[in-house]
Amino acid sequence: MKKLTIGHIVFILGAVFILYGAYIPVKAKVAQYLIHQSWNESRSSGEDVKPWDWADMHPVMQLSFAKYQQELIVLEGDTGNVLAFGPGHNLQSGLPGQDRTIMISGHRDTHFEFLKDVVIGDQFEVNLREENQPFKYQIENIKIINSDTQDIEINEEENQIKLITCYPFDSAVSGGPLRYVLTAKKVKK
Amino acid sequence: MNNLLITLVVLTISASGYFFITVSKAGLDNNSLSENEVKDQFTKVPDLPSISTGSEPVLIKSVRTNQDNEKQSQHSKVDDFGSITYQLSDSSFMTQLALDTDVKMSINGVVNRVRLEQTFTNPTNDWVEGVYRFPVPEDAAVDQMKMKIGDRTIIGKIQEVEQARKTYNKAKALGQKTALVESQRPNLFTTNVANIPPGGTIKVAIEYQQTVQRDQNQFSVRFPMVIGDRFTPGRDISTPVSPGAVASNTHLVKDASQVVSLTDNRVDRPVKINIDFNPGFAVSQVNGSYHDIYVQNQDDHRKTIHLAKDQSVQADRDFELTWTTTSKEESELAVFTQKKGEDHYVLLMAKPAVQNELDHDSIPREVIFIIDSSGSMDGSSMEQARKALKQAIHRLKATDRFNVIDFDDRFTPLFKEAMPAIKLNKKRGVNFANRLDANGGTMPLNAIQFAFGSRDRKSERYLRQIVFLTDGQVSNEQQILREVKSNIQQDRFFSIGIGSAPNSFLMKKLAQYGKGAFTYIGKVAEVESKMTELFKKLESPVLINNKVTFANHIYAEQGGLMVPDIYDSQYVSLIYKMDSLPKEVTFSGLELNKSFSKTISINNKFNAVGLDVLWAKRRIENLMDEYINTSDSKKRADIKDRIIKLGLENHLVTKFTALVAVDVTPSRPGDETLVSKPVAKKVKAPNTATNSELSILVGLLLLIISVFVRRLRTK
Repeated sequence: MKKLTIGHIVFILGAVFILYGAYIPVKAKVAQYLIHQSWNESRSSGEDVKPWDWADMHPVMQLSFAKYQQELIVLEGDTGNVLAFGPGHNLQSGLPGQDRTIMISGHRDTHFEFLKDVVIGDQFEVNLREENQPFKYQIENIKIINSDTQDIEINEEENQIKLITCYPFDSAVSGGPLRYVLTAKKVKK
Repeated sequence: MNNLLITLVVLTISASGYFFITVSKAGLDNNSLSENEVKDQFTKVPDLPSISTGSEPVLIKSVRTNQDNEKQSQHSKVDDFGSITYQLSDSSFMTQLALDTDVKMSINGVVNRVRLEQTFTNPTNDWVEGVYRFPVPEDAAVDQMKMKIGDRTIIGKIQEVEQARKTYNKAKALGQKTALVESQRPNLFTTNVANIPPGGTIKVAIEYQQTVQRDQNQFSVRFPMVIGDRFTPGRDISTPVSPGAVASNTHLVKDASQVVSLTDNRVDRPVKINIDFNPGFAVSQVNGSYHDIYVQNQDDHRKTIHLAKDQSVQADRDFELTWTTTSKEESELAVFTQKKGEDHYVLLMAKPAVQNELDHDSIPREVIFIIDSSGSMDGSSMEQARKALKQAIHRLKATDRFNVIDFDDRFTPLFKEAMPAIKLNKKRGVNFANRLDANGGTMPLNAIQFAFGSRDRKSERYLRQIVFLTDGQVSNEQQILREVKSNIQQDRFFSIGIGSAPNSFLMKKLAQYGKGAFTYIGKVAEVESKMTELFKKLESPVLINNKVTFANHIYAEQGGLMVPDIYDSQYVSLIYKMDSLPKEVTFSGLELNKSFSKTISINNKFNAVGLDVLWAKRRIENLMDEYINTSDSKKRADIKDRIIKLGLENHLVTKFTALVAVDVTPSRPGDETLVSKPVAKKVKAPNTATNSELSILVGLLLLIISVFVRRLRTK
């Protein structure tokens, strides 16, 4: 057998890193596809349908940004293992229909990448599983905050959605302190 | 040359760690947001304290005055009172208030009367409302509440819960000092105190009564100090949440916002405990199970006990006091009586001796262990549970069958069905226990359903026992209790409470429904002794299907309805309301497959106080069981009325009655209007980027290096 040289090892390591890097967005895409299917199924049957057998999360709502051709299923919880598969709803925040801030976070390089194009005035819809009528929201405000010194405020009197993703969008590394926060208010009928 | 290359590669790889830091710092600079800009747009606020197991801080809802309307945008830390105040930009704020708890117990024979005084101190410049959630023993009959303002004392009145809330809210709006004590669960209470003046103090004292527990020659009382972080299953629903809530209500737990607590172990919550100890007989070994205590002898039997050291501890674990009788002789029956009006209240502590020794080997058992490996069990709790489970498995005989079911938000059984406890299977069980890892939610329901569902035809030949090891940190108790009550059949249910503060209401109720026993393990060192005690019970059920009867002419109404199974070492305590005192009492039941009957004459009677309250409390507990287990709305309304009637008659806090006190002198000046601001909450933004691009970049870099290496070699 040929001796494994440093060159080989470095080459294999490089390939592993590239594969891992490529796997993250693929996983995010495939997961959303499966979650979409289970969402549609559970909306028609009215029962909890898991996207895959060993899934440990469940969908709570659907976001539709028609302008950007984005339809995303939001999952319950916003811990790292949930965000890998889709945007996550913070458990302490509200739900559409409540007068309470709804907080949804997503990865800037997968599901919430399109947020960099969203501008104030854009409208989007939110569907709940039990409701037939979508809730309409309009982006009112876009801010960048430093999450080391600031937190996201949950207002108990306002029906609003805060969409959160990392900032800047094109940074190669994760773990930075800045967050891009879009605040949307419910559109009155 | 090679060495140099290795160094280069190592540097590159190790640099990737450092890389993160430098690039992200650079990213911040590039962003061209100056510090001032950030400050202008937003207010700096600190992180929410981390949520961990501990006791619940007081959340204050702010009631601001007109003069004080200018926006404050800094957070202040008030050290004088040991509290932390977070002031937010939008004029609302959240305060965590240090709360002093002063506990006075008076143990008289078998009755323990406890006074629990909470001191609410307001360190802010606003009129505030304090909300405090606290645990009490599940068998505590809470019948008194006093609000103390300076020298004045206002005595709380019992009212139906809706009426009590109205009284409280009205007084709150009028600027009067007012307090409300409610019960969300039998072992979980809330005190609300409104209109605490700036810098002022209001004391709220509640009193309750409980019976002393007895096991063989050992007596004990327990004072819980911690509400664990309870896990709430179900989908969120949009009902209004209570002030300071940290959880939404869900379709399975409609009042989750009232029972799930925000905990922060950094908040100073000193507790003082003083006990007037009068057991009525000579005792030895007076011990605090989890605290150091100091005992002072007053006279023959009377002692005063308080906490050692500086006489106060932080409310981070339950307090338990135990003592033993010096006499070696175990009496079969102790009787305590109280006369109130025409009625006699009689408390029996009984352990009828069984004549024939049981042949333990003759009854093969099928034991199903259900073990909790949810996140709340992390640390020493998991260690205790693992150790307890392994001991239990070792103890099984080859003729027994067993299975182990591990659960968090899902469940994993060791075997599909119960398997013989032969060496091979026991080894697999032990390995299974070693692999248990604490994380995930606490959802025992499916595991319990599996335990019932895996009953097969062979099971009939065994005595089937379900052993449930958990800290019970759930808020859907009713759902679990209903499941066990309707499917228990002939199985026996044993619960083992693990950790510093298990949900003992749930555990005791499960053991009661399943005619088993509840064992509490508070620390790793206790596992062995407590488990040995439990094994005795598991291996030798003494008397089942019991009945207690008195002479025919006596009308006796039992506080609880069932007489539990009587185990070898355990005393049962039963309370009756009677029209005359009995001379003897007859126990009858089944001992294995043979009937048992024994009449014991009552020679000595001891006078006691407060038995009437304990009787009413057990009655109410019984009605609550019925209430939980019926779905017929008419029947429920009827039971509710009966509970309210008992609550009002006996001045007891129940799910449907609450204690409320109002100081009629208005204290908040009329010109300082009441503005109630919502409590805004702050949530930490999660990490919202992946390392996908970075790892591709690093990968490319490594590929280039490898090509570079190759070229060097060919040269």
